[in-house]
Amino acid sequence: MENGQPLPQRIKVIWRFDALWLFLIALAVAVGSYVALQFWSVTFFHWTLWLGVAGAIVGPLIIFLLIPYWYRFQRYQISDDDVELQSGFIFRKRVAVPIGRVQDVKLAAGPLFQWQKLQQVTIQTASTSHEIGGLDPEVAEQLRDQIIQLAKEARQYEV
Amino acid sequence: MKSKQRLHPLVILVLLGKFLKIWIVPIILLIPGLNSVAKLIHFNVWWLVAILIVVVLLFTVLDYLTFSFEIGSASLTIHSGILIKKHTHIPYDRIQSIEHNQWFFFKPFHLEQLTIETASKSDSPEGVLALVPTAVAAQIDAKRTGTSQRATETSIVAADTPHYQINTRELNLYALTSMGVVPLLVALGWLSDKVNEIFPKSWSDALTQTVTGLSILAIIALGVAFVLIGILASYLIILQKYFHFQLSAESTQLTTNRGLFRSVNLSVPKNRIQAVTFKQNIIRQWLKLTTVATISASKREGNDSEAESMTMMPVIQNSDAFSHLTPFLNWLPSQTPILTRLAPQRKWLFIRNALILPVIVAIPLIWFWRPWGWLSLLLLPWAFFQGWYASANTGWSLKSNQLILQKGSWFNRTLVVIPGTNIQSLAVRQSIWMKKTAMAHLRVNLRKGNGNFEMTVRYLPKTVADDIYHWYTSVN
Repeated sequence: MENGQPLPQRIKVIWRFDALWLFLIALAVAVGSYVALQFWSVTFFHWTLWLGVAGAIVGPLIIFLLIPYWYRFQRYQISDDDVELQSGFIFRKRVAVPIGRVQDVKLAAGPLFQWQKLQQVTIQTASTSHEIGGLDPEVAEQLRDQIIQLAKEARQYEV
Repeated sequence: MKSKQRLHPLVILVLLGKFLKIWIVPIILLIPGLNSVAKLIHFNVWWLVAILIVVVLLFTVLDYLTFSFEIGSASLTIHSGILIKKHTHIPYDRIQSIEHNQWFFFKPFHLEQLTIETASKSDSPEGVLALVPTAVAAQIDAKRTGTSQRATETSIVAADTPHYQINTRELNLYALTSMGVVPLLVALGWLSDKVNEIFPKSWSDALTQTVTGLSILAIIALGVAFVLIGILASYLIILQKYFHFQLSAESTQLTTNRGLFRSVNLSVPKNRIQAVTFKQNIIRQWLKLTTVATISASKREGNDSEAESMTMMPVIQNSDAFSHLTPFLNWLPSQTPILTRLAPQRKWLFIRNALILPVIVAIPLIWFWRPWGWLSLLLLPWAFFQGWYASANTGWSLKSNQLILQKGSWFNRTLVVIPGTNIQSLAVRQSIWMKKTAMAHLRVNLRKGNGNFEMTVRYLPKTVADDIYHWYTSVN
């Protein structure tokens, strides 16, 4: 599947926001611990303070360094017969889900995704579920229509 | 006939039995607590117990009085609920499977339990009639087959319906080679641990005194007796469970019959069978015996796993298994498939992976816990053997429309025959270090019960994994 599609470029913006959330959470931990230290001088809060500071610096940095890697090696391919997903370089994983096995497709978009015009897509089979981090809304809807169409055809054959 | 019927009044005993089965252990553990509560409120503990018994009895009787069912012309209706009235309508042609359960003491009364399952999205079976006359059960069965008569007629004409009955010698071997004794011993150990808390202190003190008074030889004899009793108990449990095991097939479903004290009759539609597994523990591997079971899609979950994994043949000679099975499921290969094995130089990888955890555990133990820590070195040969076992039992075979995979773990070997169209999704994994040696892991997902069954075969040649991947995308 080397000819698979990369995710839309805009997904990187969302991953950068993930880094921002991590930074804010770690910062909150650090500030909270600092304030707590003013009242109770407990070793535990020294630990959480340093953990928070380290997290606020190292966490987002790691994510920023990983974003190009994630982006480079995540591919998807939707054909008439199946959906194929590929991710990772150090631990490469390649999954095939035949369209005929797909039970339902879930499209979801939070505020950030809506702003970036992206859809989070979850494909559900009778026993497993597979997530595509973000797709153009048109592609996501096309996939959904394809699966609905196939389900209709299957029903016609059954009767 | 459309009149409300109640369950048989003896069902009150069944319900009480079920209640006890769930609550007996918590109740025993609660007795000391109850005693202190009684003391606290200056109340005789026996009165408290009596009140509890009356409450339980009252609820059971209410349960019985509010439960009724109607056998309609097109559907079965079940009314239940003490406060919230519930009415369940089950059309006969929507019934997927019916399970009959009969305890030996209900045989003279001609009473049994019926569990009715449809394909709906609920987690529990749609209808459970806890105790009804067998005539009523037969009536429901007749209504159900009556509606699907057109489908079954052809098979009756064919007349040559396959049938299999377990052979006594094989059943004996199976019961003897069960590893069921291990959990049983753990349970016994747990109980003996709890003896101190449940029984008066004077009793357990007396017991401890007797034990410490014994010689070492006597203690060893006691331990051996303990294990022997465990083995005997697990032997008898299995023997009665699979007593007179029978498998028969109609055109659309498989039916099994088994049990000495409680006879169980279970039918599963063939089209819901996703794959067939062949399992052997290491002892049975030496004796060339295997256990055949289905992996079935079903809505049912929880303690009754029978619906999602029905035992087709509890025990059968390896060499006979496939030829005996094809009459029941015609898509199975008629001969034992020949598997491709791992190249010998790959075995080291399994052994290495099995050794990692024991080494991590052993090093600090030896360092910090001087004389005794050395004992942890015993883990290493054990892990080595585990790794070797896993590698020696890995195998695969790809046919035109099905995939056969085998793996070994914890001294259990599993072979699965999977029709390609039943695989929900398939993944190939390869780490960067495996690239050099051109290997990959293969993972196949199947539906089992209401969830997922995953079969992973590790360290296949990458070309084989890719072939299987392409085969999978082409058959679907």
